[in-house]
Amino acid sequence: MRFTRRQFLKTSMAISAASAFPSIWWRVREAAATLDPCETGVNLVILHIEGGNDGINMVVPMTGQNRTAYDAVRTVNGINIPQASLAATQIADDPGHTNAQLALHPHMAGLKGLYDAGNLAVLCGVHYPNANLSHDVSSNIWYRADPGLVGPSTGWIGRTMDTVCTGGSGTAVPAVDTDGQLTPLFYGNTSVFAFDSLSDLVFPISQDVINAGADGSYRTRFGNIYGNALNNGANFLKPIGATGSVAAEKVDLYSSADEGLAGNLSALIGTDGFSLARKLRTVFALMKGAQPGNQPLGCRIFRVGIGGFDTHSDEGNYTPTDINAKVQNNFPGEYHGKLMYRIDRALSAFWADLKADGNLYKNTVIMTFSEFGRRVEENGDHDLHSGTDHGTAAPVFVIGPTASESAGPAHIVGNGASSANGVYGAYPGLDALSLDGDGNLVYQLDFRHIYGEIVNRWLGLDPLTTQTILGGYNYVTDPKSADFLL
Amino acid sequence: MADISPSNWSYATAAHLLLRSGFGHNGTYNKTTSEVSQIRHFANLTPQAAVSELLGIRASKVKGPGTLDGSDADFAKLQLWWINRMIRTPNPLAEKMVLFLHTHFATARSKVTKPLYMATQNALFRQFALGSFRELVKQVTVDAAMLWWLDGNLNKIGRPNENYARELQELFTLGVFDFNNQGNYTQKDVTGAARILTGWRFSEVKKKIVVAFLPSRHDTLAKTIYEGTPSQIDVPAAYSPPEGEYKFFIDQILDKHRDSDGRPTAARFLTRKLWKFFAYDPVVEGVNPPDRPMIDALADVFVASDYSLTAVLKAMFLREEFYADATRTVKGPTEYVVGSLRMLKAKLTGSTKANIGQDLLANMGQELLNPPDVFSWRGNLAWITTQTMLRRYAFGAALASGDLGRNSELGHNVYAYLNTNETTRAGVVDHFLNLLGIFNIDNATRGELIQWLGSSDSALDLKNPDYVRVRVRGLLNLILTLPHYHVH
Repeated sequence: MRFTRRQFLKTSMAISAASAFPSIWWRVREAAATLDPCETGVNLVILHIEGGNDGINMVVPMTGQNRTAYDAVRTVNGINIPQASLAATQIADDPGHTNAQLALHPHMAGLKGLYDAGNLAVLCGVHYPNANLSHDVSSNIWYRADPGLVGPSTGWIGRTMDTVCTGGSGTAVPAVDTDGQLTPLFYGNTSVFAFDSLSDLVFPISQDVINAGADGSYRTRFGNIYGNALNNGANFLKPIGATGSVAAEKVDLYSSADEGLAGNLSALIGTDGFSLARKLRTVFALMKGAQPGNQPLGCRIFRVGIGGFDTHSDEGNYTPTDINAKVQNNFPGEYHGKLMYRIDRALSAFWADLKADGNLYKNTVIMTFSEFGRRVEENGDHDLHSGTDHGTAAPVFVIGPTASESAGPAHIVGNGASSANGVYGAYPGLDALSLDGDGNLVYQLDFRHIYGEIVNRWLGLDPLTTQTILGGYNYVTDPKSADFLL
Repeated sequence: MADISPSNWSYATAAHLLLRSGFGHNGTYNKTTSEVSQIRHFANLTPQAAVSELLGIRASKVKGPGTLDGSDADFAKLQLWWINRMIRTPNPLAEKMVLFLHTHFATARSKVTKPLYMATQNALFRQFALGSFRELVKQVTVDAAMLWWLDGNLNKIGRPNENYARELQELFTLGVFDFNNQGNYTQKDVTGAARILTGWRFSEVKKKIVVAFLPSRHDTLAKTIYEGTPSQIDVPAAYSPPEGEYKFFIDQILDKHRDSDGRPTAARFLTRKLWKFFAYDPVVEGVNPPDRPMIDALADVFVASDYSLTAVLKAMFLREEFYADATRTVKGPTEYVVGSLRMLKAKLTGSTKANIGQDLLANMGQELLNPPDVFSWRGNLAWITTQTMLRRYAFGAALASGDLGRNSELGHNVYAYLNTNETTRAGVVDHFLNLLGIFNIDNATRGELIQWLGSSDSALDLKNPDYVRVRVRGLLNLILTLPHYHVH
């Protein structure tokens, strides 16, 4: 196909920043430039581990009654991770049980390094009341911070941006979803960019139009038409007008960001086509800004996803052999372990790139979550075809700067800090008596508590506003407090 | 509201019917009248007759996709075969229903890695596209691709695998919540349903797929589903024949399950999903859809016809609301691309043709035979992101500038539709708008298109190939990327 890139001509019918639309018309409004995180340079990266991550094997019980229960119902190699393989990634003990050692998945050596350095907080047993075991419903619950799905259909980040982005000159897009599809996390009134790759950002025009020198007037007509759809169109045209305008207008600026600046992620992508690493590389490039000259793009909140975690079958077959050989052979037969490895490598390389930058690591927090965890007991014939079915609570990781590193309003209270040692919440009991009526883990820490600390302490909104964003949930008075971010 | 009256039936409503029920008209153009012959034909009928004729079209026998051995290249071959069928078929409604059923029973090659399995499932959808949904959901339950995709193969007595049992209820028949946001089933019902579905396996014998019921893997104990509700289903112990137990269960779901309004849950859920796919999304905030009476009327038709897809589609296409201007839904990538190629009779060649499934459509967010997960593509507004809009602009530019004989990959002959004797810019603009199914456009947008052709009608230079190449093809480019063209 023949098309080329040309500077998009801004027109008199550019997007209005002031017009307000019902919440369903997410992305309608061009974002304002006054988002505090944009101005103060505080970044937030949210990683969705999609499909329901087997959290029991991301943070694994090594000893104690949970280990006994684990060994009783997980027998397949890899769904049961041998105790001996966990010594190198051991973290602090489970706060909820006595004599109960915990470890990260053996393939998470990089994150273990971040844990040891005090940059990683491990939050155990995170979920919400009355768990829903549908991928889509539970994802929406996490995105909307709304366990009953009774509140508005906006996302908790969408509501946060709407609170902060009021007025302004309309030049920044404060958030980017690095999947081609925008997730409900961002639904609200604030514009969000969504794309897989910076290389997708090209405005195409027919070569004949360009050869005739008519591309400038073409873009003017195009801009007028999309501006008209946004400002005066029927309701079903407004979101198309908004997104189409933003895409056409920002394409040249955004595509100047340079992914090559992320050296560690680039090296990782060179050895394997990690999609998560690719997305994080895009995030890093956008944080650095438009090139040349690192001009700030204003994007400070990012969503990245990694899929493939719906492990109903063929989940296991862990082997503690040489990791490099496994990588070269694409982890023969080992499924969940491979995914753990990819998360580990991608997040560690991302953090290394943030550190190499010299500044970005001081004001960036990363949070992981999955829509739910999985059952304790493996399904099927207890053979290599076994997997685990949909469950409930699972661990959340939060990575950020330590007290001495932080240039933001808060820091991670990680390993080495006085009280918590970097492990929070409590590991849910895995024995039959501790499970709920459906045989699922009982959650120990409300997910809104984590959102609360992030919105209040990291993004800097006051507690009352935070409570409003979280649908009335008051994380400050929640008796199961964590204080992983202070 | 009721059915559309003959007095409101027009060229525009007939065009709308062809667009929403399929992928637009077939491109047969009458240069004398400047109309699409097929649209004119349907416009001249009564709505009843038009819809009946549409539902009565039989597709001619078409060769299958050929031998599929299992490589990725064969998936590309299968995708191209299906896309070509959508573009060329005389019965686009049937292919649109195959597309609907593919999104409804979303199965992906990301896990089902052999093209033969996906092709077999695709053929099953085509067989029942306008048939009995009741029979279809039974056959899908033991379809090899589905047994692979949702782990039915691993589901056995004592070790139930809940994957298919959950989606059968959540996505294929009932939905998680009813119209009052009340749950339709519980985790216990998922476990119980999984036990009912035990025993089915697929295998391959001499490159042929074989699905078999293995009594030794089947749980023959009694099961109670939806216990203690008005929808309670009791499956007796040692149900006979055991290989018929899943059919009994599906019949009971369709016949007995009632939501919190006491209405047939599955009929409501499925009708709303069909309406959302073919017309627009009646649910704005998840509960109390404003079109509930209409959905209920259609659901009644569905139940009364014993879940005949033909019957419910016919009732849908006759509703006045189906033609309402106030609401539109976003075309998916397949509808956008297939519809454009079909209506302009464009030719696919070269690498665009070879990679249409895994490149062109995938980059717009919809690789056929490979939905992102069992929930399928989210549809409507979720199709519209900054990335996918740029991809659509690229397709519009390539298709508009394509020219037979210019070695283009998307060949299309603009002169087939252009009356070079036209004397007004507005005439040219309206002509191309209507050709692509856009009626009643606002004056501001229409004015921009007119201005693109020149500052006055005297600027029209339709006999000059250079003018046509830049301005008329440029106009087509603008129309193919209009906000109004992304909806139907």
